[in-house]
Amino acid sequence: MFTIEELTASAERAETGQRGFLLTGREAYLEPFDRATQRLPGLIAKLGPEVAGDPAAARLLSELKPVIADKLAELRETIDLARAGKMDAALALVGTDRGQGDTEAIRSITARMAQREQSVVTAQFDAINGRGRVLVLMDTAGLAGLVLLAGVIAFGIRRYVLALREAQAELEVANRGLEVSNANLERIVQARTADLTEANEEIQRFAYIVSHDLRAPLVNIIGFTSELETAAKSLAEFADQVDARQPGQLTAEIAEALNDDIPESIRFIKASTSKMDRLIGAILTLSREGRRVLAEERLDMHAVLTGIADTVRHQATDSNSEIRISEVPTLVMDRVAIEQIFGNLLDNALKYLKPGRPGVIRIGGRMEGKFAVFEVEDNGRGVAPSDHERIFELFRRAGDQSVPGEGIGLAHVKALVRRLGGKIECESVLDQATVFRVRLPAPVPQPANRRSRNVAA
Amino acid sequence: MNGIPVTILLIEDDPGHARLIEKNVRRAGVSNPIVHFPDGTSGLDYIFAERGGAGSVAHTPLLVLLDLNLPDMTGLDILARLKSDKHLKRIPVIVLTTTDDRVEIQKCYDLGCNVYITKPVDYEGFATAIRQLGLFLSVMQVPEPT
Repeated sequence: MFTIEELTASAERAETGQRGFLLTGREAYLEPFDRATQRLPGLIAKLGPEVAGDPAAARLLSELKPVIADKLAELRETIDLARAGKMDAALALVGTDRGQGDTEAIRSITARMAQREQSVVTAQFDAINGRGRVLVLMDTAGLAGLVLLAGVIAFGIRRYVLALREAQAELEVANRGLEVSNANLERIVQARTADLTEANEEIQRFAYIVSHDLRAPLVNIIGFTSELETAAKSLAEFADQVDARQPGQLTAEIAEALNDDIPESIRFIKASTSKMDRLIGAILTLSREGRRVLAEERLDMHAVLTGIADTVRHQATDSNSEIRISEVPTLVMDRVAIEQIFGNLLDNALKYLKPGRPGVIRIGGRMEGKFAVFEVEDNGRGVAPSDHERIFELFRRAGDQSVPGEGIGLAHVKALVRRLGGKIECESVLDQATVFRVRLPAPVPQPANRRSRNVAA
Repeated sequence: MNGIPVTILLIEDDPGHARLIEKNVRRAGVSNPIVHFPDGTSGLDYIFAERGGAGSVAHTPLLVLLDLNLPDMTGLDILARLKSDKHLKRIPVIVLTTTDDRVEIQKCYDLGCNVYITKPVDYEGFATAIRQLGLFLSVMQVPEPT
């Protein structure tokens, strides 16, 4: 950067040294001249790389080189002339435009070069400044980016937090919804239960009315059949008298009608009406049983079962069978219902024993969770697997129909068990054995503080 | 009993039952007049006309044989109407019906029914019950109309 100033100064010093020598003739003034002339080539060489990046400056340098060389040559010529004693010639040379023109050219070129250099430096400054600005801009952009990123992150976090809150809110809503739906569910269950209870009551009423209304015409059929029977008997007696008094009057046809056909028809009508009466009676009993209010009490089941066994003792003795009652759980239930359930099961067991095989009927029980399970087991004729469900249907019976019955007992038992909140099932091997398993809700074994259970109506 | 025979009012919608009741009452030797009404309205109309007409009609002592299942109203309605009327409440009412439901029987007695008889489906039982009723009717005292 200072090379140009040094160059100008050296050139001026060389001239100054030359003037001093020329004026005084003393060699001492040549010393600055010599130093300057020695330095100038080095300075010019040094300028080369400095102006390499600037073509305008390089052009100026190339203009400067010959001017300086010419100036130095002019100076040397004058000095040489002076040394040779030709002072006049030397001064004349100085007085020419040559030396003056060279000096001015050197000044002009170096000034332009300095200017050029200045502009280059300014440009570099500007460039640096520009780069700095770019950097600042980039920094600013980076900062802005960071801020933006931070913003984005903050936004993200905010969104996340919001989403979390939203999710929490949703969860709360869902929880409330769950509570509501739980409450709804309970309401629905209650409504359904009420519906079922109502439907059940309706069926009971229906059964009652049907059985009741079926009975009214039956009373007439039975009543007038009896009237008919009485009348027919009178007729038959009269016919007998006529036949006794005047044999041959009565045709075989009339005799047959009076003595066989009419009584036979009446017998069939009576058998059918009495069966119908039993069936209607069964429906009536079932419907009445369904409407009966159950009274719960603590039942020592061993005592209850023994009591029932005593009532069928004569049947058991007749069929050479025995009834064994083992340990059974205690129940808190309606006594009548329980007696009917086990009375029917015992009666069935005795009724359907295998002929010729002494009957053994076992009644046992155990607790299974909240249920008391009772088993009535016999070694009788058994029930075919296909009939295990059917035997519980009203008016349906299974197997050999040698034993009289209406198909009511087990249907009644099933209805009762269900009403008590329990279940009954049959397990049997044909010709071997049958087990009726009754599952009933039992009180938790806490004799001191037991809770009574409500039986659904 | 000032010489006027007791009239038996039979309110029974089933003509067969009515006939069987009448036959068996007669077999028991009861010869009182029997008037049959197939529904509650005609039965009540007869009773109120007989008794309600401001003393204009010659009063007849009555006895009511009442079925509970009627097409137009229940026998319980008739029972309640009769027993809540100060002039008619002394008329003996015998409920004769197919129901042996305990609650139904209690209701009848609560309303003031005098006798409750279940129609047995077995005809012999039915005939016996009616004949006994007939005997009962032949000896029972019916209050004078008021």
